[in-house]
Amino acid sequence: MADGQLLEEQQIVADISGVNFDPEAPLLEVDDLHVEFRLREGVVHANNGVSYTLNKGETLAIVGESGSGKTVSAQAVMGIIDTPPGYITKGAARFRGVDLFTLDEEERRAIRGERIAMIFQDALTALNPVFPVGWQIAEMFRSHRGTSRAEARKYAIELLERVRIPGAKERVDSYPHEFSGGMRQRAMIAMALALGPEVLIADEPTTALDVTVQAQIMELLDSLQSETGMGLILITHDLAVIAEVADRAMVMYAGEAFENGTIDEIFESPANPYTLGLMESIATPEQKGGRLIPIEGSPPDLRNIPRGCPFHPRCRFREEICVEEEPALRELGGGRASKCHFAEEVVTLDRS
Amino acid sequence: MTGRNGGEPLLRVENLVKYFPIKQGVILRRTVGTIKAVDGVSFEIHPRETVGLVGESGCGKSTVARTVLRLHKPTGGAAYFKGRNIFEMGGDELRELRREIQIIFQDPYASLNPRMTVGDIIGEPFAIHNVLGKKDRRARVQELLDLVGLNPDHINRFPHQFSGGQRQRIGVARALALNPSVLICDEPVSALDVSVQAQVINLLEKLQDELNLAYLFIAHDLSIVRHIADRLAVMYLGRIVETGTDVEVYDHPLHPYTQALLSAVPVPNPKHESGDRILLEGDVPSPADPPSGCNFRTRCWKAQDVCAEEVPELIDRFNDGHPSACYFAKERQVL
Amino acid sequence: MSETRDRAKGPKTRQTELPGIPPYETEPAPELPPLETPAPGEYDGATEATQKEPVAGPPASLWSDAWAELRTNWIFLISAAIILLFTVMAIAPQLFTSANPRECFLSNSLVRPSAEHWFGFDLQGCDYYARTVYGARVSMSIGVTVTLFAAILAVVMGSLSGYYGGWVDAIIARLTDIWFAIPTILGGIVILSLLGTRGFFQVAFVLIILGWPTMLRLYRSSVISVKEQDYIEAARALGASDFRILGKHILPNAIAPVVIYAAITTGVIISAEAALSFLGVGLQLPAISWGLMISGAQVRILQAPHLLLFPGIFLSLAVFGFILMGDALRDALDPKSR
Repeated sequence: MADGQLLEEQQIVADISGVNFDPEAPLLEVDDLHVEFRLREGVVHANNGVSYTLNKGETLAIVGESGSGKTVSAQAVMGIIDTPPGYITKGAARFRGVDLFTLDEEERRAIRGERIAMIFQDALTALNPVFPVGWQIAEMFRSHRGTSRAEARKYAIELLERVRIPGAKERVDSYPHEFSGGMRQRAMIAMALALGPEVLIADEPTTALDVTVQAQIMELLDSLQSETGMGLILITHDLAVIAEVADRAMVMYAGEAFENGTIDEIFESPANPYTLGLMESIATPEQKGGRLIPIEGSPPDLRNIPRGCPFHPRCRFREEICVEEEPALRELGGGRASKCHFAEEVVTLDRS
Repeated sequence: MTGRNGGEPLLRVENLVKYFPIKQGVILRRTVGTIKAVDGVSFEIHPRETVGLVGESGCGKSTVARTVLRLHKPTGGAAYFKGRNIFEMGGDELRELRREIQIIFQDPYASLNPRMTVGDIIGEPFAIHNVLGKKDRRARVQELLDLVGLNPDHINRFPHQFSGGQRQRIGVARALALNPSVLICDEPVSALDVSVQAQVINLLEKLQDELNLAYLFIAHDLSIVRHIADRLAVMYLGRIVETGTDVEVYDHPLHPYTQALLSAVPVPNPKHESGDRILLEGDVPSPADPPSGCNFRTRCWKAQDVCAEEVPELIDRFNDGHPSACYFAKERQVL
Repeated sequence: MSETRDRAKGPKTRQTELPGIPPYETEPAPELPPLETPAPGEYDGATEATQKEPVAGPPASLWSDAWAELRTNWIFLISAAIILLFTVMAIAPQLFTSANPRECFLSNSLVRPSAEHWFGFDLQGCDYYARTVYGARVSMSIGVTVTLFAAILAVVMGSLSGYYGGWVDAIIARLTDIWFAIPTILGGIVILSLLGTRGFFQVAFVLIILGWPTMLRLYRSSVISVKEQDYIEAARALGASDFRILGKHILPNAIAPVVIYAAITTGVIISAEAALSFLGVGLQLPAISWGLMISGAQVRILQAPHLLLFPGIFLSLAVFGFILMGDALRDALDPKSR
């Protein structure tokens, strides 16, 4: 189809002159990321040594509750943290081998949107309310590629169709508030995909949506990923959602990676008491009765992270060493890792 | 619709209707339309029972709760508490009712007055109804704090000093102060962290046993509702489309919307076969302009002409005590 | 191990072998406590752990938080000092000068400032320093009185208007719209020139009726946004009377913008009174007002500039103090951070 071809042709990788990307390197590699926010009330340690890898075609889920620092790590990669009060104090974020933190603002801007794109929880605030949706999508083409207005508009319509918004031709001139929640989310996805990014970061994309709409959006992301082969980072607190879509997961707590592994591994044999606690406290629709086993206490205040293992006040396996010493992220082999003094024991617990 | 206990219902809602007028104009506000938030809802709650009211955003479930409590003025229908019509109660009788039916809210950050101490917040019901002297009040408030799992010594703290889960507990304590018999829980855990949700759910279950409470549990999270509810009602665009026990609705759903809803619920199990997922087309219609007849027909794969002509009644179509509102209701396992 | 949980679906076997790695020892971990299933009756997480959960700090209301912030804010400290200075000056002018502002000797007319008489003398030969100091009383009392009454009026009517809406709101809103159309100074001039005697009360009255609409609108919109909060609904669900809700729930949460505006308004009123008196429609002699003094000074500005200078400085300083205070309060009471 000629029109569809137009879209494909445009997706030539725009070269950021002077930057040597390594085609062999993993798509995205975050290495020991430390981010802090220096506020009047104290220093918030949002990320304390976060590391993860994303490969082509892979879906990585970053799971955590409020205050886990999951969104901050993505913002750091995108380069959208306000400085002040946010500071990246340590670590690297390598996109195809090139550390993004070493690039200047111009280069980062070229990468943002083109190579790495992000979608957010609330499409209503992420989309500009005074411009029509189609205009905003077309803007991506006009500003990054210098496309003409007519062409850009055509691409915008194509994209809206691709994200399955019915009547794309008519709706391309509608404003964000005229769309329903699910449609807005699709429009935001369209905008993110416009320039054919290699990495898509989705920050709580379905949290604000109804469950039937959530299913539609997750299915859309899944099929778009298969089509384009891009890497997808899914940031969420909803374990059920990632079970269906993600390949690998990283569980975060208090700004640190607590567990890493494939989806099957994490669900079937969690290697960390926090992950274990999360699994046991969620209800499933198929089962009735029994008791939900909660994790006592609440997630910590990031200005006052507990000494030793940050989870120790809430951990039912807590020992002396947990209070004194912070555990290292222990490799359990095969890409599996867990930050717990007793990782090996926890992973072999019989949960039948 | 008989409840588990078969006896007299504590709360019986009959054909509840609540429309909101849409007004326009600066000087003289003309009514240009109506939002049919609740369009004929009926259900019962028996003592010590939990009835779940589920549906997605905009279906009217929160409006049902607020109208029953007379926080909105009802447009039609009746609500009987122990046989007396709530909508016909005046002054004193209504005040008495407030002691019997209470509510806890979704947002732990907005449901507590930030400028009052926790002790004042929980003690306010006593002040309003002129119950208990000052000293007794303090003791009772501390008792309540303990009951919901909070430290009674924190009685003079302010809400912003507590976490979300703790604030929700404060809300529960406030609602229980006057020993109600019915507690309406309006999405009580939706705004909480996952690890904390279970705490609050367990607390509610424990309190139900200890204090003989009946719950109207309003939520959009079907997994949690299954866990806590004995019977439930599924709402769509202002009407109930299906009711039944949790086994009936979850394992043998009859109405197409219920089936679609259940199939959309993600299961936290990577090995689960999502297979038969029903994906609905289109958007939820606006409650200001609902479709004629069955208001689900615009997104229903079974829709026929008859669906547009007459509203399907919520009746027991298979003689098994499991009512549904669809001409083509048929059981289909989706979980 | 976990007995009561029904694991509905999902495999019950766990992986004991990770690819390429020898299997773990499968003996159970002896040093860990068994997975406890909470016994019936204590399964709600409401254990000691929850009760001992830290709650941030000693009791700290939002007001005390704001106060703590203000105390270290130099803008607040400076403006508070200025206001305090003028307040004391208004209440007890004797602390600042022993001279009598009404004891005037023509022989001293227009004498320049000197070491004994810091501000010199005015046309009538009155001690100018004493007059300037006593002038504070009028300004401060008018400023405070007008603002206070206007605020009370605004809060009462704004509550009704914002909370009940409907025709009450429509009437009050339209009324304030009409009021807004009247320019303050011009309106003041017109009304005051129609009155016979113009004393403190007349001037205060006029300023009150010209000033309250703004404060009302401010409070009204604050009420409208506060009344949407869940805790208001909770109070209604508990059976609280409207009066209780307006007074105990809405007022403390909606009053912040009015407090800020009141501080600024006081400064504005002080300068408005000075302007009206300057124009000859405000207070009349023998009242001691900075406006009157400035009015008298303008004719002789070249001869005796000190007549204009000193009341001018005092006036500006007083107004500045209040406006600065409004600024400091706004930062501290900003609803976004509270």
